[in-house]
Amino acid sequence: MGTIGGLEPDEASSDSNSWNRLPGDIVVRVLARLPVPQLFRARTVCKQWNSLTSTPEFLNLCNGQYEPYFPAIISRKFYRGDSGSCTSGNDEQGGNDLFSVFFGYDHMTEKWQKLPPLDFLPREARAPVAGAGGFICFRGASSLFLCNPVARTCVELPPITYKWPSSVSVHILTDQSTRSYKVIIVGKIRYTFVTDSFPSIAIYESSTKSWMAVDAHHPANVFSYGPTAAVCWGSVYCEAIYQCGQIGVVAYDIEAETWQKVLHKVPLDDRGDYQLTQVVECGGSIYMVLARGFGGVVTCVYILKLEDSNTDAPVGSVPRDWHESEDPTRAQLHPKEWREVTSLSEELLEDLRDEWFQNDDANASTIVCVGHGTRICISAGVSLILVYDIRTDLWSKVPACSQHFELGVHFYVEPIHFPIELHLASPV
Amino acid sequence: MHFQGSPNMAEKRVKLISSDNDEFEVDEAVAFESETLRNMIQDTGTNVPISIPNVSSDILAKVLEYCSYHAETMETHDDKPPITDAQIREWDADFVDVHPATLYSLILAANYLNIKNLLDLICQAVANNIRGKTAVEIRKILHIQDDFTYEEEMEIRRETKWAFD
Repeated sequence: MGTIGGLEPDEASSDSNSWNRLPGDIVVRVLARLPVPQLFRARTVCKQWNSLTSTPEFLNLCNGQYEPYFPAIISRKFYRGDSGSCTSGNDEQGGNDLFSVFFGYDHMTEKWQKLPPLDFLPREARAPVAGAGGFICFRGASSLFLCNPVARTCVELPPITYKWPSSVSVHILTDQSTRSYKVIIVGKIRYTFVTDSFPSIAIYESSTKSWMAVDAHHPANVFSYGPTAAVCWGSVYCEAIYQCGQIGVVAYDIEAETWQKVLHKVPLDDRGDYQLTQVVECGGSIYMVLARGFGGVVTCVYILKLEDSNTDAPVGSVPRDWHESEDPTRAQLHPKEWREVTSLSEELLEDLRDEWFQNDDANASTIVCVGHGTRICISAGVSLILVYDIRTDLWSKVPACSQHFELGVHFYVEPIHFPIELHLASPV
Repeated sequence: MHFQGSPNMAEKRVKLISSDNDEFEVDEAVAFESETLRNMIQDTGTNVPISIPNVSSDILAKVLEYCSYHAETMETHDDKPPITDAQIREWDADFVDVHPATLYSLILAANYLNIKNLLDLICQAVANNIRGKTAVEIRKILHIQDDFTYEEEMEIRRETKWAFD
């Protein structure tokens, strides 16, 4: 295996540098910073590490602040009808065999990591729709399932709708301090308890175990909502289509329960029709990924960032740390505008077109965008995943997941549009 | 003696003596990055050199380099722009980009001197070092003796088999 970390492979393990000699409280400080799959591997390093990480106290130390896995890919069996049943077995007791492949990309090690099996999910849990704080949310026929794939626990939320429209987006907000969470659905939801069904937001509050429908009196001129939305600073930024045909976002402040008055319209230009628009949150900012073109041919892909339009801030007023200095309630008062941060090079655009050429089912509308930290990933299928790094302003390609998928007539593999965080126990 | 904050605190110097009897002299503000030293100085004042019997001079020099930089980031100068968070992160990343044996000594020193930010920084660096590694690789990096029998190790693997694929 060669030398690792500059050490000779046969250096004695009883020497003065041995981690066996370190006090347990230092060792757990390190181990609590490992992502869950790595922690499980670390448990087989020595008996001390195994016992130190198997205590209830250790769970409290793990703050889950490590970089999540994204993009993640999942395989799914598909059915003829939306309500079609599984091939055999009892739906009530049978495990979920919909998902046989579940991998996530680790940007730190630049490797794909196998993620925990989802066979414990009830059969009704059909599609992953959101994730945060160690939870993954799956959509059923009329309700949502919230699961922790590491702890293998799953709860079904109270039903909200009798039929899911295809264009809803789901988000989870967790609050570690109050150990509560919110599940937010954006889209044309048909409430069973509200007659006005268009267009709106529904919020599930874990502390009251109930759904709340948001007043549909959104800002004027909003004609319709797009299929994507992103949560940032306690507000939901919904992709909006205005009556004039322009697109943009409109924000709903969850705590204040109000729609922001300001409409963030994307400026018009002549780069063609919109083939794709997706709103993504990344590193505390809202971005929009757009693909434009003519007659179904994509001629440009670019990313806009929603920023404060006050650009003449004095030098030196750069916030030391955005999560400390930025006040979310104050941030919304700043007028904001879209700024183009990057566009795809002709070479990468060519790769995208090749990918679509080889795969008849794929086109701009099947692109999946996911953002986290400093990166925005654009998946044009599982074999072409592009990454834009905000900090370095560089594009790169994620190596293809080399796992052999047992694909066939009844399986397909798709990228997931949210980062996968794994926690030993869900914090809420 | 009770410590009293004084306006010309930056002029106060503290003498530190490493395990191999090297003497270091730093500003009080630098020493105050360490909770342990802060308590000692508040008890005995700055006139008496403080001996640190379990930290060697090369490691103490590294630790003081860290403390000096971070004490400096707290200061504001009219003529210089403040050090940004990104600059600090970059400096920190360079600081911990050292041999695992040095990290090992630093972690013990940071623990003894009770410098929480440094301890967190090194723990994160070690965690990053072993991220993506197998148990065999981790044992080599950190000089850990494998004390499992084959059966014991397999038993642990079996519980979370997916993580080993």
